Amino acid sequence: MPSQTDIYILLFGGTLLMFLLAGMLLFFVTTYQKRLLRNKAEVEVIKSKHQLDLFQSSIDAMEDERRRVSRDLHDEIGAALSMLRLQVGQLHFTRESPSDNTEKLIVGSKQLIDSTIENVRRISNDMLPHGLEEFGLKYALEMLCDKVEAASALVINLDVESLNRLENRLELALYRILQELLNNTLKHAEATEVDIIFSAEKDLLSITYRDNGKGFDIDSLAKRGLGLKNIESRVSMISGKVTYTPTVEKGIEVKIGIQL
Amino acid sequence: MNAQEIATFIVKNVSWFVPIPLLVGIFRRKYLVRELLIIFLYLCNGVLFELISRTMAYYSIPNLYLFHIYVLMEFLFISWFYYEIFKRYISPKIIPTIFIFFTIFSLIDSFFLHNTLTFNSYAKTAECLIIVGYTAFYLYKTFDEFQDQDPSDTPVFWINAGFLFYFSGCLFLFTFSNFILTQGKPMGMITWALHAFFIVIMYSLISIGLWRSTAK
Repeated sequence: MPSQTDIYILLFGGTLLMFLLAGMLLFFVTTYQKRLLRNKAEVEVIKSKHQLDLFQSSIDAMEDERRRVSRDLHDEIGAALSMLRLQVGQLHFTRESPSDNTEKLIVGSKQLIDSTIENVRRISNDMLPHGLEEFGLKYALEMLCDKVEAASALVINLDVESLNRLENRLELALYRILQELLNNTLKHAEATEVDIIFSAEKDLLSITYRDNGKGFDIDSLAKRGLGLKNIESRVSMISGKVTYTPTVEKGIEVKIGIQL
Repeated sequence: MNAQEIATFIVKNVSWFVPIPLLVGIFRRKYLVRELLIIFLYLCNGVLFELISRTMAYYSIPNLYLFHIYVLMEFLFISWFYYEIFKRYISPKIIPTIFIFFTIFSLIDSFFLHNTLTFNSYAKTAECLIIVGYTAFYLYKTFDEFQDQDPSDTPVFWINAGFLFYFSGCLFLFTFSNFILTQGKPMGMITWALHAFFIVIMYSLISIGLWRSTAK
């Protein structure tokens, strides 16, 4: 027969044991689940970094290809066209009494060659912004803004005083982002004025892009088009952050922050 | 204050803890999904039995038979709660079947194995074991079906933890409940103080669970 003390030990010992077992079970399950969640988060980080690397590689490949085609266009096609124009111009002097018809053909050909040279130059410039690699982002952006202002009624206030030379890849990415933003403003915003402000503080480069157009619904950002997605991808590729805010005047304000 | 006085104080005052999760439930009523509503009903049932038993005790009417009814009601609500959680994983017939068998066993215990003037300790022990089984199965499912969420963010996790602590902690106390009755008042007080401690843990965890309820 078990003594009374044995029964007390069984009662209180058993109670304590069950309580501890319950605690251990809960501790084990929660700790394990938290570890799984942590591992999953780490895998997600690795995955997104891998995707970013892939995206970076494809962007690099695309930019390299653009650079090559742009140079070929400029150096070979452009040079060949200039030579052709010179030769067509000389036709005028090689004939003693050119007929009216020949004269018209020569003038027409010269005009056609001129417009083709201009187109080749424009395409080449769009593919690789001239002066970006040689003179930097500041110069390339000034050229871009001049070109946009000349082709539209948009007034662009560009403040790039605080901008110094950056890595080539970073300058190209920022150029493409601003090119895309300007393109969006021209296509959709019906704006009359754009502000582009660069400010640098220690290791942080901030870019504020603001237009006074009709803006867009922030809630519909989930369905944002390829242009905005491209901007976001390029910003994340240079380890930056982008935020869109509607301004009081109903335009849009885009802020980009990059850790240098 | 000696140990027995502390035990007496705990046993006499544990009832004040009972309405806390109920008040939390009322405060969070907008967010109570089906299974949390069942827990709310379970708490209401607990408060109701507490009031009746206190009133009967006040008028010196024997009230131990109420415990027999309470065991059944408690098991009904807790089984219903787990039925709602488990119906995605197991056949919906399993928990009602367990409940029917338990009811039969509980009635046999109340009328044939014990009587209504003693604790129905076999039924209570069986209830503890089944509910610990439910809680363990819930933890197994949490473990097995990895969700993109920290388990401690879900209300059911906390409520399940409350049931696990209470029913596993009280298993031996209820198994030996009739033996404890024969051991005199000091032993009874210490044992029921321990029971009160588990009650406080369970209701605290249920309160946390109800507090963590989110929009439906």
